[in-house]
Amino acid sequence: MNVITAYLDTMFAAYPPSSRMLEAKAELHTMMEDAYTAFLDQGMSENEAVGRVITEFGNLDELAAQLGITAEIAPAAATQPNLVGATVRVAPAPITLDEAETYAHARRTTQTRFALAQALFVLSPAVLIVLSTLSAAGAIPFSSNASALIGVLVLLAFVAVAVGMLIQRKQQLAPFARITAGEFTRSGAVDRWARALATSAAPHRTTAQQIAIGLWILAIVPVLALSLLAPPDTSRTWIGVALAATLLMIAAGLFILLRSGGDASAAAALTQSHRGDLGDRDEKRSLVGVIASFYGPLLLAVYFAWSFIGDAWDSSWIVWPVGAVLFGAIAAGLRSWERYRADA
Amino acid sequence: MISADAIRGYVDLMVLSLLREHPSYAYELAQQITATTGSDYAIKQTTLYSAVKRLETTGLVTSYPGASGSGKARTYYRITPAGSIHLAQKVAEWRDTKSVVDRFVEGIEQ
Repeated sequence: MNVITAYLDTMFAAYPPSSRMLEAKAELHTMMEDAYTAFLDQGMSENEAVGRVITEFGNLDELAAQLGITAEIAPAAATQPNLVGATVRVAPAPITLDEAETYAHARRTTQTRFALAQALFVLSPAVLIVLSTLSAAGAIPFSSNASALIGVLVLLAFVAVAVGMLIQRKQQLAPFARITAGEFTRSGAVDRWARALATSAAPHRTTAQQIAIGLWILAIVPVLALSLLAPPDTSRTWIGVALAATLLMIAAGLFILLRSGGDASAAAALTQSHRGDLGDRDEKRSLVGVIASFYGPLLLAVYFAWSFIGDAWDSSWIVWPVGAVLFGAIAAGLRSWERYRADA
Repeated sequence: MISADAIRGYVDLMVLSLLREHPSYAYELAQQITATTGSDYAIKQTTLYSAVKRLETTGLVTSYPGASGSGKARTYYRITPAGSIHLAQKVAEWRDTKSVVDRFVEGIEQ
């Protein structure tokens, strides 16, 4: 309920508080309260009800004539392309509230698929790890080669399914390419709507973050427990299974975190500032992406190489905590470098 | 799903036709419209509120303080005689509009 009040306060903040304005605000507040109560009675959660009420709010510009306020015109959209030289950049068209809502809806519905695909990427080497460690220890009746073949096939299948999901999602989001690329001029109404959307999604997102971080911290437990508590022979046999459990926990955390991020990412895309040099930003984003995508497999390779070649199953688990801290440092370093480059 | 632009001119007609039955308040009107249109058209609260205020300014409806079924204070709207005449005109206009557009739509496959 506080979110609804805060939303209306934000929407009306841009206008002087005349008596007609206060009357409109009070009556819209009553309408939203009634709708909120009705949604709760229908069995929606508080977050869902607030989200629906805000989605159905509409646009204050519609009230311009009744309230004696001038409808907002996006600052740059008034540029007349005919009056200025052809070399002058014309600001891209602003997005309408309808477009923004459709986009947010599409992001929300495709988000589960996106989260599942990322989790599948993380999980893909699990079977390979389990089978190769078990066969190396002689615990299953497969040769190392057969185990490796099955493991690699499963890995490829996971990756193929995940890539398929991402392509399907990309197609569903294709109509919104202009929004994703930031090719629009921001407008007050859409900005306020996007901020309210992010606010209403925040509590749910915080819970998801807490669960995910909890899972990631606990993810080290299977490997750690096996290495420290079990006798060396047992730990050598089962280390792959423990590692797969770790991957499963990391993947579960990633899924929970990413699935909750639909509204927040939509709001972020809608409130991004338009920038002339889009290519530059894409390049920066891909730099972090490239490092993140090879870092995980690299760490896995180091872990296996050290463990197998050095026969160091007892101590090689240290790769994981050290690797995690190192990645944090690398990411922080990259971010500050990017900020420095953006300021320069 | 009908776009907000396509139906904009006829929100006044919807509100007046609902108020012809009995006086009502904004949320109840929104709910009745949603119940009637189903998934074909979702009315925004600002759209409905601006329609009601426009009708009030032009004297087609009047407002008075009342209480909802659950006893809460709500601003009620009642159709005026001028509103009833306007509604009849809008209905006639809609029939003509529909008939004209239909002549162009006829024979076009979906």
